[in-house]
Amino acid sequence: MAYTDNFPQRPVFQADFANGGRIDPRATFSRADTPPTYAAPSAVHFWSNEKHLSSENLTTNSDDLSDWGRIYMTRTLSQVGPDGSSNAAKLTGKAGTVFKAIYNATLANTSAQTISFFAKEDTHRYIQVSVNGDATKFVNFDLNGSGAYSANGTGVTASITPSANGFVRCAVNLTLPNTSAYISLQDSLSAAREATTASTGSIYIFGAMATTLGDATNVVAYQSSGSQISRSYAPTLKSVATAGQPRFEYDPTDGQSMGVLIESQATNLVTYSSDITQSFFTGFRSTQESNVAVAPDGTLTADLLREDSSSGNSHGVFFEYASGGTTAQTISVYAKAAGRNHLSFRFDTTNGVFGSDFVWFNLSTGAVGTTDSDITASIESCSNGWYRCIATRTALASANGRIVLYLADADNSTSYDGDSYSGVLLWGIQAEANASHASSLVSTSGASATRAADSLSVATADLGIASGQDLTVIVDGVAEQKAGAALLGFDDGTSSNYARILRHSSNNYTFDVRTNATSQAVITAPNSSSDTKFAFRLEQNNLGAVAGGGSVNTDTSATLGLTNIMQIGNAYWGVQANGHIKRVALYGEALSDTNLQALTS
Amino acid sequence: MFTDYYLAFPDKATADSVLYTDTPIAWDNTDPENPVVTETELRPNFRNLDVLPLVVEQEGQYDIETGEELVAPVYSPLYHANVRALPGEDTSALEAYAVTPNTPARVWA
Repeated sequence: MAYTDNFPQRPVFQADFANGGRIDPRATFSRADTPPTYAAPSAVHFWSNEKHLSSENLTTNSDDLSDWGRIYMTRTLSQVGPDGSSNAAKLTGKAGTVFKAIYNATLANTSAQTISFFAKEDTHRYIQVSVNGDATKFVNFDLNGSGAYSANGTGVTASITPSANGFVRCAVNLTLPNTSAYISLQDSLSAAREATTASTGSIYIFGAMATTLGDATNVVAYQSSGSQISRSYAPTLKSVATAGQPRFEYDPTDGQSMGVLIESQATNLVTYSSDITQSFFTGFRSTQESNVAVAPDGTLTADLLREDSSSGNSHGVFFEYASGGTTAQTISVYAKAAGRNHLSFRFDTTNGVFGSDFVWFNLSTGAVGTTDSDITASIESCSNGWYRCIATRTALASANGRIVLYLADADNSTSYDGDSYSGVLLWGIQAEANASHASSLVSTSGASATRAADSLSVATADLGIASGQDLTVIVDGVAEQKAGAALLGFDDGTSSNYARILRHSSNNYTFDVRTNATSQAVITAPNSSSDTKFAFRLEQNNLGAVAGGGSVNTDTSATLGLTNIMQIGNAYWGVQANGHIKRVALYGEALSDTNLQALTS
Repeated sequence: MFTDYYLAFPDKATADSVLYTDTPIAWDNTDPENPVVTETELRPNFRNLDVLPLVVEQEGQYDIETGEELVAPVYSPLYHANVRALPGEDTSALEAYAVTPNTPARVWA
């Protein structure tokens, strides 16, 4: 067919996955998911354009409560807190038998919330949390030893748990009337509400938090606030709402639409992806606290890995999984600093699967630190302090391999003095065998789980395209740097006839054509790791390929085979792109080199 | 809709014979009337096929401090695979190897 440099006809098929957010009815998308239920949401996840409340502290100056009002109390700042800092305060009763308290009006909120703080007995033992405006609701705490409490009032729950440096963490969950909350000195665990006291004793206090997240049983990890309340929203890593739902993803860092995600089948070999308190994990010189922070999916399911007080030693947790062969193994973990800013992975020598290789991640700066040479690592921001830490290493044996997650006090260090307070929040732990990249999270709860592959295709006959007709296809997307990762392909369901755009482990993209089981042409495109527009012209003895508006590479000796299906994000003899496809446009004609360049620039 | 099969084969060879088809991928076309297959590869018979590694029947025990193995895990001697069969896929050959585990080692997401 002859062509000109005139602007081409309208494409016979045009799919804008990035902006349209839907699948053209002429195309078929499928992924064999287990249907989700309310009780069991899908294990298949994607980055949505929705946001959730990620963390919240409705108090101000929460470390030392320096702006809280005082009633017959003196306050001394710069005291040692449970975290070892000098940010705690000392509260001392003044002379006189009166009600002695501190209070904060910004706690006022008519919804259920949890008030928590760290407190330590000095020369005074008992304290009380009460709310102004509801005489029935108050909780007394005994700060001595590991602590005790007495909760009063309908719907009031409380807890007290030992922390570091002699502190306990007190928590009260209740529905506040629209007024202030008080922390007062009391004389016993059975003291009446807002009773008077003659005590001139003192307590230490640190880290007050009021939040609508969590409750007295699952007390949310402390989030410091300054002169303003702290409330952060973050993009949501959602699980699909319906089985086989296409996943249109948005970048969690800037909200930009990335297109439709096409992934190959993947298995998470970690049997409890978001519960490090399960026996699948073994902690050492650490404690594991379940459901203490909002995870990237917006649920209160993130766990805290907290160091103990051991000196000059390592602190962490490990797990084992079957490597399944001497292939690339990829470990990924969503993590957020909670006192410790560094997390390290170790590919352990157990059973000879790995060679004791380390990598460090900085959860404060979002950077990969020291990395042993056998490891490839990356870190991805998920907003509000959450990062996905990813490391890949080739297994040396097919056996149970051990992965150790260390808390770290600095880059390239795993041995230090623990403080019983600091740690890292963990969620979405994934181990993938025979995988050189981290695929989207497959959540698990009791057994390893496999996500089926995505499939997106169009029967070209449905577009009015005859088999073997001249074509030009424009595709905007990115595929994984991996052998045979396909952006797009045409085929007839056999290995005899196809035309494909592939990316390779060498980072090249190629355009190749096979007709009647004989290779016709392989055209190399420029390297590109980010999403790029590619164009591929399929015309007898006049193949043309271009990327990003660059020069057009051609092949003038090629016979076209008969194809009848266009696969998007996949191709015959290829594998899924493991990446995003933003747009596809298919023209039922061979376009000129000039047009190919214009349409891809 | 699909149908899930948990499969336990006596060995890998049996599993391969049921789960894959040896498919020609290259031919010698010297005689166009009688092409000769020169290369084949195993193609899965099912789009959603998941071959499991060794399945642990009894967990091992390890020293928490040193990580040393105290009691070795016990593995199943069988060869396991999961198939999520789609409509139109012929599953008749799977029936003989289908099992119903109380606690599957792996599930479909």
